[in-house]
Amino acid sequence: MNNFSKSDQIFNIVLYTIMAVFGFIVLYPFIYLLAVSLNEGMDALKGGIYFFPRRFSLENYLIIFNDKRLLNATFISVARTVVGTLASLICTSLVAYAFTKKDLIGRKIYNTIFILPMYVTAGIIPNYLIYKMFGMTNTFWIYIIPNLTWAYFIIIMRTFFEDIPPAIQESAIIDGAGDFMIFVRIILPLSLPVIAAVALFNAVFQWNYWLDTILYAPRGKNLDTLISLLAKMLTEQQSGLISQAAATRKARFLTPEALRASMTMVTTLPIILVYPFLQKYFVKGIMIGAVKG
Amino acid sequence: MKGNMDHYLDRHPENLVISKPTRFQLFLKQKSIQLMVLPLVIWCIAMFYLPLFGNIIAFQDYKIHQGFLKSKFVGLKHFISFFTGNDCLLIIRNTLVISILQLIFGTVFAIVFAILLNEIRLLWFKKTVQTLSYLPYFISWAVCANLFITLLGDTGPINGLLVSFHIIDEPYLFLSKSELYWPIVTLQNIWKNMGFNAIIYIAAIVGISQELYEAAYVDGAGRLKRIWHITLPCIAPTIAVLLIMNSGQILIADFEQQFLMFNSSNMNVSEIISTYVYKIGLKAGQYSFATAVSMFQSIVSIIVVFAVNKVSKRISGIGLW
Repeated sequence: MNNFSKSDQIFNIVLYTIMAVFGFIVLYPFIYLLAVSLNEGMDALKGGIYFFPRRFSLENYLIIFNDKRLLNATFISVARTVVGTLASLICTSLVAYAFTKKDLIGRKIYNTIFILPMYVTAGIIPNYLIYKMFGMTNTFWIYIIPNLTWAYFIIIMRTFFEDIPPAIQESAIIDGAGDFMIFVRIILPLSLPVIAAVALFNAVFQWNYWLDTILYAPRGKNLDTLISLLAKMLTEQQSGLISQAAATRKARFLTPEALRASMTMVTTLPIILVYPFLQKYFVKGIMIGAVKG
Repeated sequence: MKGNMDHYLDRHPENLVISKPTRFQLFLKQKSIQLMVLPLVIWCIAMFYLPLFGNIIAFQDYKIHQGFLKSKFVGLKHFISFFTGNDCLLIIRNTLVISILQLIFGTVFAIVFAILLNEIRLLWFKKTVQTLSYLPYFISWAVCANLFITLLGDTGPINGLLVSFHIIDEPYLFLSKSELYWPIVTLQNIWKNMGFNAIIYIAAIVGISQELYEAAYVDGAGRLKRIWHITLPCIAPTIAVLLIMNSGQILIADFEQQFLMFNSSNMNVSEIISTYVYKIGLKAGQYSFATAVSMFQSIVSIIVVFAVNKVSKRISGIGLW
């Protein structure tokens, strides 16, 4: 028996070490980038930074708020997140509410129409051509219209709405409230948790997504988001940005690496701030999606 | 008061003894609800089904000014020219290698992580590790690519460590070595998605009956033995279902990742079907040819899911449908 518990102890030591190392590996890239972003650009090129900045400087951050192009990108990032999330909340909750009505004519067909795109999607070329046909390419709407709602969110919201006791609605009907009134006055106020969850998912998606800028708004004027600029810098489509930015601010020590580091931190910080709420909801969300979907 | 009563009866027609209304009458009665959903149904058809129809241009010589309906039909010309072209084998090979590596290692790591996490008894430690584990899932690919490119860069900490321990004499350009590309993107994918992928396995493990473990404990099985003989067999169905579902990704790989990690020195190993479609289609404007390539990709994906499902059903009795 003694032998048994000894092997148990070794198992525990190995287990906790592996998990601690894993936790470090997840966190370290962010710590490093934070250190680089707070370090003077030219100095960082010498290497040797591991955890803390060596020559502290806020230059890499100030440039984002002083360069016209970067400031505009920050604005587009925020605009896209706010408008996209609001639009998606309105559309998703309307459809989800309609689906709670068992006697809705065409319910089955509508349901299939919304679910199928989860599994079958057209390629990027037909998408591009259809968006172009609707005049959405190279406009701000390319960020909003294609992302109005998503079957997965509809399922999550509908599941929540269906759990609201029908008695509450019935008493409102007796009081003469119409469907829309019931939706706005009763369903929505009772569904704040699920609304918060869907809003968070949407906001994170809108804030993080950059592929649509590159695919569907390649010639959009001032449509770049912070994250799409970062992506373009990585794919070497955007080498002009750094020299422009440096010229406007006379930022002598600015380097592409340092600018990328500070852009990374600016785009990651909001995610980390909402992360505690995000992770609370999303494990639940996955389970609902897996069971009902 | 009368109005209210009417309204109530509208919603509860069973209380009225009248002839059954036609579907059209019902539709008119629920017009406020229909108004909530119909515009979005139309939106959905326009955004998702019209492009599906737009795939027709794979069989045409599509010209923008002629549109979908008037462009000339050319049959399988674009498919044939893709399969007989020089790029075909290379990009299919790259796509397959990258996605199979990610499928195998991604699954193995997620399972091992889920099992290890389940063995942790310190609750706060367990929670912290799990919370950290899916943080990278919520980080944009652009950020993730930048993290890796900076970490592996010539002035980054990995080169710094290797040089200061005299393992190498001068910084090693990890990202310029095409032979390292596949391992790097596999690791990157594990870093980003392991915690997320593990969630479903963690749920499966939590669902295992504790009696099984107690019985094994009484029989003298150590922790490793219990993992091997109880945990793994119990989550085998979950593993199978997820593998079947993910098998459809085998010709898709991760477009965002490959798009960002691509550079001129690794193009012979990083060009996958999706990035090829983007370059040939959107950048070079060969819409029809690129659509044919991406259509081939989707069709094979669907066939693979059906085939794997069938084989799995025959061998183990586990299938998606």
